[in-house]
Amino acid sequence: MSEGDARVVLQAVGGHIIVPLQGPVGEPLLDDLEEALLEHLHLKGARGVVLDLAGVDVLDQYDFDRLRRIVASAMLMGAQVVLAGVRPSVAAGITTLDADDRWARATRTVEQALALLR
Amino acid sequence: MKESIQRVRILAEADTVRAVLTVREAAERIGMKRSAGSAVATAVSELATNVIKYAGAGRMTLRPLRNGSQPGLEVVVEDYGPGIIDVEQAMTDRVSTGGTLGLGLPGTRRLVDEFELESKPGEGTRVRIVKWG
Repeated sequence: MSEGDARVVLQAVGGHIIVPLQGPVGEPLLDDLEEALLEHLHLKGARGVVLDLAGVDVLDQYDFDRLRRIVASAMLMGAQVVLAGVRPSVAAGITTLDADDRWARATRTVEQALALLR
Repeated sequence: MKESIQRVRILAEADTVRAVLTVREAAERIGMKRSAGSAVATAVSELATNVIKYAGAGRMTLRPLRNGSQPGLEVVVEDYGPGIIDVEQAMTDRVSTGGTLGLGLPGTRRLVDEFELESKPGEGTRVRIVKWG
């Protein structure tokens, strides 16, 4: 893995955006996520954003806090944000690290997140 | 196959991801449970990020362990940064969550089975963790 290969793919689905995230997240990927997501919200807008974390099994408190700030920015730009597919290891890790999770709305699947946003 | 020691230099943000992947792969290779592998990888992610944020440069050393049939990993994350002046305070949980983040050391300790921290102001910090499972 090289430094420059962090890539975030945004999938537009009926007024919402789905963002699948993969692997150990890390700062470069979160930089990309922030830029791509906020730019999309600025140019095209979206009612809802689903951050699909099903492909992420390691997330530390720095990553989670960065995610919190990206979500807050997206909300300031008029979008609702839901986390989907949080894995057991991430859920246990975040609570063990005692990271602030009060901001997070979460569903088990992307479909459930979309239903919540409708 | 003889398991060997692996080292990862931690010099930039991307190295924290490399360190985490190295730990995840080693945990899987030696047959650790998924939950234990993720826990030690999360702990390493936390420690490696501290190296980047507070020390600038360091390294991770990874050693597979075995206790009877149980696999384990020993990880040492060390840096040559400013060190931690008040270790006791750094190891104390904050009363409330949210706000500014600490070094995350109390949480990191909860993720693993053994946790040792040595730090000398001006010389650096060395954290040794062990996770079984």
